[in-house]
Amino acid sequence: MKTKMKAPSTKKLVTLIAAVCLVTGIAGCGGSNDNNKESNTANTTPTTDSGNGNAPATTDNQPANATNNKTDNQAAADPVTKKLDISAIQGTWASPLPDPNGNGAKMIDEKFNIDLKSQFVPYDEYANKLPVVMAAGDLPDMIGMEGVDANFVKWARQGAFLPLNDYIDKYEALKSIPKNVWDAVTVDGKIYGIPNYFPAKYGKKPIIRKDWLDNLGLSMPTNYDEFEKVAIAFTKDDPDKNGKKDTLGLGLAKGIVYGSWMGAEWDSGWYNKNDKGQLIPGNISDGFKKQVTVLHDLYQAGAVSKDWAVTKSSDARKDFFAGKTGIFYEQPYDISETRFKQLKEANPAAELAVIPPFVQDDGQQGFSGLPGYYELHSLNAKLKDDPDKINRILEMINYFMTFIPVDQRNDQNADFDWQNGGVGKGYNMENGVAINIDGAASEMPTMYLGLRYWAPTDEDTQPAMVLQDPFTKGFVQSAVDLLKSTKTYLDPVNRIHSDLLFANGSELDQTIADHQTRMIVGQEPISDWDKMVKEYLSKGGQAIIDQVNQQLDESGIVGEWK
Amino acid sequence: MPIKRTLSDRIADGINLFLLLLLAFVMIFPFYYIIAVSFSSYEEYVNTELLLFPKTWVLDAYRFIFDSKEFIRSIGVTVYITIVGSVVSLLLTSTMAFALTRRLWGQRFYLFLVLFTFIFGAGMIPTYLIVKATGLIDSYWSLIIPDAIGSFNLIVMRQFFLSIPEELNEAAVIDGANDLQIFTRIILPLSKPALAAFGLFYAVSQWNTYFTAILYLNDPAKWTVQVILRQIVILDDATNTLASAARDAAQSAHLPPPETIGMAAIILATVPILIVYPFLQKHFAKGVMLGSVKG
Repeated sequence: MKTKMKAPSTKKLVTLIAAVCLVTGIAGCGGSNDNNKESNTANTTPTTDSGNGNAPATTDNQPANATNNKTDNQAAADPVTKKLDISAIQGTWASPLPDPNGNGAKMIDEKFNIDLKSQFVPYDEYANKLPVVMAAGDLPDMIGMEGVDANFVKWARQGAFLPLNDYIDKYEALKSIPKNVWDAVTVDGKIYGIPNYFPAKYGKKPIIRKDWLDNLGLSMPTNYDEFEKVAIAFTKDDPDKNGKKDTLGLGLAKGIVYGSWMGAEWDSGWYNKNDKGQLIPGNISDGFKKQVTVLHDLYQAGAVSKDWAVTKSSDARKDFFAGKTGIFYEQPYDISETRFKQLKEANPAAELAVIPPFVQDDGQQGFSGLPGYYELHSLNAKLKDDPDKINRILEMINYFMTFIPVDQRNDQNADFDWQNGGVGKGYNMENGVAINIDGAASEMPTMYLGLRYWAPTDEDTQPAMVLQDPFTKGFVQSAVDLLKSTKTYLDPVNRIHSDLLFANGSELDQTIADHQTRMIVGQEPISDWDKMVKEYLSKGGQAIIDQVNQQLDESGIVGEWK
Repeated sequence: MPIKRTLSDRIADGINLFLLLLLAFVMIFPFYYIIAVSFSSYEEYVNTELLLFPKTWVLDAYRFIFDSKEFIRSIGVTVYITIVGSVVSLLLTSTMAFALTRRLWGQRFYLFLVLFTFIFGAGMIPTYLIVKATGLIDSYWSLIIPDAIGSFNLIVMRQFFLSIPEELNEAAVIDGANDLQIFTRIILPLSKPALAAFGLFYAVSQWNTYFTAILYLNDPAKWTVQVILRQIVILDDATNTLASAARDAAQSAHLPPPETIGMAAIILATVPILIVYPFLQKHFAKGVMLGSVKG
């Protein structure tokens, strides 16, 4: 209630401020629009080793036997005479970023006789920054990209990148890259990027709490009926024997991540064929329908979280590692031991195992693989008249990609020691394994280029070898052993570039995922599946399928089991 | 003598009070939750469904952040560009607004130019090219100059200046003041509320500088606190397409710091700018004219 007349001008002012507030939507608090609960900051560990993240300690523990004499090993190359400026830009998940003027950068400069200007951009914004840098004509000599997308193909065709076909054979590590991976970075017959190794075999795999199976006297599921039974039992029969009904069968997150695929037939990759014999995307195939049906049943039975459709995958993962979920997905490669440790500490009886893939209708048995690479480096087309520079860059890439067997990754190996900044500076030896020193990213040359060793075979990465924690090690070893004897399906679509798929694929996938989400929670009958597929096909899906199949036929690329 | 209040008045007041308290709660609660989590131990956070009252208050998260050089440095950067940026913005906005209130040759044309930018933006790449051509890349000025004048703020401020009675200016002219003196001695002192309001808008938007920092600054040491915050509190959200499977796997290797650290980072990145509000509050409430002109 107003008891006093205010000056009219104040009223005007208040109105004015109110108006401005309305228009500008005054930001009440800075930056809290991103306060999602699950934070994820990269720990600075090179991806060639497993993330040996113990929660970032800030103590710099100096080992007693720090050897400070740098072994000056010759780069396996011609003597380099002229100092060259080399610039690079790439995205990263790592944080904090290595300091551009750090010790590691100086070591690279010295070794290769260059002046490296390496720039990292958080991947969140890299997709925005790179096109701007590109359009402004500021492109550095080396350009990192996360994968092959519409932009990569477009820029390659526009001549932004240097074709590398003539150079590859000079370098041992590059030569060892298999053809199916080269295909991915090849546009119109020319290689425009050097892919970065990532094992095709060791992507996300369904993992299960084996101790829960034992507690309930159940055996490992071998088909979807058993799978459903197990997941429901995990929900209803108190598998952790704590007397409370506080468990879930399957961890599921929005966008049907990761679902319940137990082999290539039921996954979202291009495996199944339509009645015309064309390869079709997984998410509209009958195999995927089976998966949706299973998830629907589990949802009805309460074996997946009621609010899974709005759950972030990281929260679903947190629940699994908090011991609340019986089945989730994790990879045996490049993992952080910390989560596993937390699980084991809270649940000393916990045992994890990968669920072996189910036998498919066509008799095959195996999971879908990853493309076999993650991230790539292209060279600027402007370098074409500067063979010196091209060779210097490739030599450097080749050097950092040259595989060092896992059992030699220690302070005795001169190259490994140099790449990781020297023992006691960038890493310490613990139980014969090199462990990165937290916060020492700027000491490690390997951090400045984001390159990974190219392993001859996926098994050679020996992911269990570099782990310390016995529980994690045990799980990873069992997963690797299981996957050694199972096949992996290599999706042929990773090797071609369909404009239509780049342009409309993700939007169509989103539409499909929305329908399937509704089917799982029962808002849409699964009998509408064919209607959904029709919608997909009529909205441009058929054109994608036609184009993809045409390109596959022309290039003679087929999906293969490896 | 207080006005007598009827029952219906009181009921209306009660309902208003209730609704406003509810609104306040809805806004304050998430913030409180973040504070609670930032002071709790990670074990407790993981094992509690909704953590509101930590059993043990620990400072580990804050200690971790204060030990990390990046965050503190980025706070420094942000404070710097907020202060410098707001001052520069206010200076440029108020001088231009004042100029546009005088009988200026081509005034309408200038106003048209301002309004034009209101509707049409150049877009990211042309702007980048200009920033580059003017040599601002990798300099803090690239975060300050391109957006120094908000055209909307300028228009509103001009209106505000126009609402100050012309008689005051005339009186000043008779006393021998030139335009600059009128501006500094009459217009600015009478416009404190407007300056406070726009200063606040500019400060908040500078404080939230995120994308331009990534775009124009190549040296990570110069990044603002929002960029670093974003890295600490990354959207770690897998999508179930095969294209992103490798990304999911690659990301898994990176260990997220405990959520408690993320929450502490949010607090540290938010509180400083919140503190600015109460200091400007008094200017909002003050009258403008305070009897300068006797009608």
